[in-house]
Amino acid sequence: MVPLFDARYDTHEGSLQSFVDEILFPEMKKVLDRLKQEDEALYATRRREMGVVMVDQ
Amino acid sequence: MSFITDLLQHGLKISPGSYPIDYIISWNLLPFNEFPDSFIGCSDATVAALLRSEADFSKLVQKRHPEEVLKQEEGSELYKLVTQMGWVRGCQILVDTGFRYVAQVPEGWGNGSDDLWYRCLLFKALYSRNQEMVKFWLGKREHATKGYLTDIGNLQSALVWALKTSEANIAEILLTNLVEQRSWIQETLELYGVECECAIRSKGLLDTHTTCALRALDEQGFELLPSFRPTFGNIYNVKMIYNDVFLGVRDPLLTLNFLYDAGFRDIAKVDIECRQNDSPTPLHIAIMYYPYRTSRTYSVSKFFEMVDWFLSKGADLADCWPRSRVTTLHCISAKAATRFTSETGQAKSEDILDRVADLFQHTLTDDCECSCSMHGCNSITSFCKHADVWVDDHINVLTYMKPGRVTVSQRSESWLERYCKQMAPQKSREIVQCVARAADGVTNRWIVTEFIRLCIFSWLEIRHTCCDLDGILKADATDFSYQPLPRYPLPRCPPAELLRIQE
Repeated sequence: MVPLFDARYDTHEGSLQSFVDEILFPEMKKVLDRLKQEDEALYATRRREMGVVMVDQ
Repeated sequence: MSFITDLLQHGLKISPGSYPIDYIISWNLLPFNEFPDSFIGCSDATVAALLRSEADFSKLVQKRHPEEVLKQEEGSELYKLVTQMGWVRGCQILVDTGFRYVAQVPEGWGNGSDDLWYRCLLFKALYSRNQEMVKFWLGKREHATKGYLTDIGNLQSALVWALKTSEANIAEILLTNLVEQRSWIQETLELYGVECECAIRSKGLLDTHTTCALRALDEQGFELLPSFRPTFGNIYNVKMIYNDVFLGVRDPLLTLNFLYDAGFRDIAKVDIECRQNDSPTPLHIAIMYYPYRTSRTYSVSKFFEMVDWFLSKGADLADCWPRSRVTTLHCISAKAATRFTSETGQAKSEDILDRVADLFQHTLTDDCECSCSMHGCNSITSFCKHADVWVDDHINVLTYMKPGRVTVSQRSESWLERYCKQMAPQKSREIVQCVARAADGVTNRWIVTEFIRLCIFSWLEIRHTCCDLDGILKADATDFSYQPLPRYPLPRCPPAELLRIQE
């Protein structure tokens, strides 16, 4: 992911702040949401069975 | 004091709980003898002391027996009282009667620790603002036994405390005493041709290598006074130079300049290094002791002023913490981050943003292996790892135990975590501004790559396996053998386990 975003920065025409706000963070948010869904699908049921309560649930 | 005098005039009575012990107030000018009936519950000796009645005090003290434990404790209380009052004659009467002062040390506290300074008589003498009182205890200190020295107080801390709180002439008295000791050691080495290479090559006043010189004299059979042995390896290691023990203390730079001008020049690594000494540099220690909490005196700009002062006197960004690859630059970046993010209110000045950007441009790295950096931690890594923001945490276990009750506690959170939660405050934007300023130009393009890497690493919540500087940055740490490396040490974490964590 680092080389990918690094290359995106080279083609970005705005400031570093706008790169973070408009590209880096939104794209990462998608990745994080996908990872969260994967985590839910794979582990959520078993976790609840064990009695674990996640903070954001 | 005029307030207390007014109260006394209106019938206030002084009780054992209200007379001047353990308070940093100059009580020696209070005219107690104008209000002879103003005492309630005080011992007869205390009343005599407060009235400065030499005949009564002497008679009452002589009735007591210094050997009895209870009388010893009372004697110590009287010592504190008359010293703080600046009543030299009262101290002399106690000495002549055979009383000895014993500082009451709370259980578990190390004897001689810098934290116990306020229990020592030399500091009580400083509160009195009476030069003769200070000279009296310096005189007693000179020939005191090792055990009694810890009760009288150490000279290095007393000098620093005087520089920060007392009049210049009192600081001069302490400085003269310390300089005389060090000069005597240097002259004795020369006079008797005692070899001590590191002490001889010391520029300015003998400081860091005093212990080496004393060891050399010990080996030659000299019988040295315990009062000549320093408590701290270097005058700049005295914690209270950097710490706001009480409000209203003077700027650390004033103290630093005074000490340097007085001849204390051991600041560069080359000045302090020798076969016997492998301690952190004074700048490492200054960074370590610089307070975490924000105050007007201890802002991030003041922190940089202090760092610049040490750098201008020979400290180097590349100096490593003993037995590690963590440099002064890493320590500065980490501490600057804690100051940078804890300051609230107005936006950072252009100077501060430039100063942080300047830190990021240095290419010094340590030998850490962690995915958060390309080739080991550098300045931006150390800064971002310590740029935590204190936030109110409304989630508390008590919420589950007692529904309806929410307890608010505080916890620190990485600024990148805050960004991730779209709660990016001004601080996050200021850090991005610093990165942008640092990466300006083709040469420093690598800083953006490092920044992107740190963002991804943090947002994915990957665990750091690189150095943890907290162990050496906490202001209460006094053990300089602390090591910042590694976060997962052998044998608890064998290489295969470390690799597993990294993956």
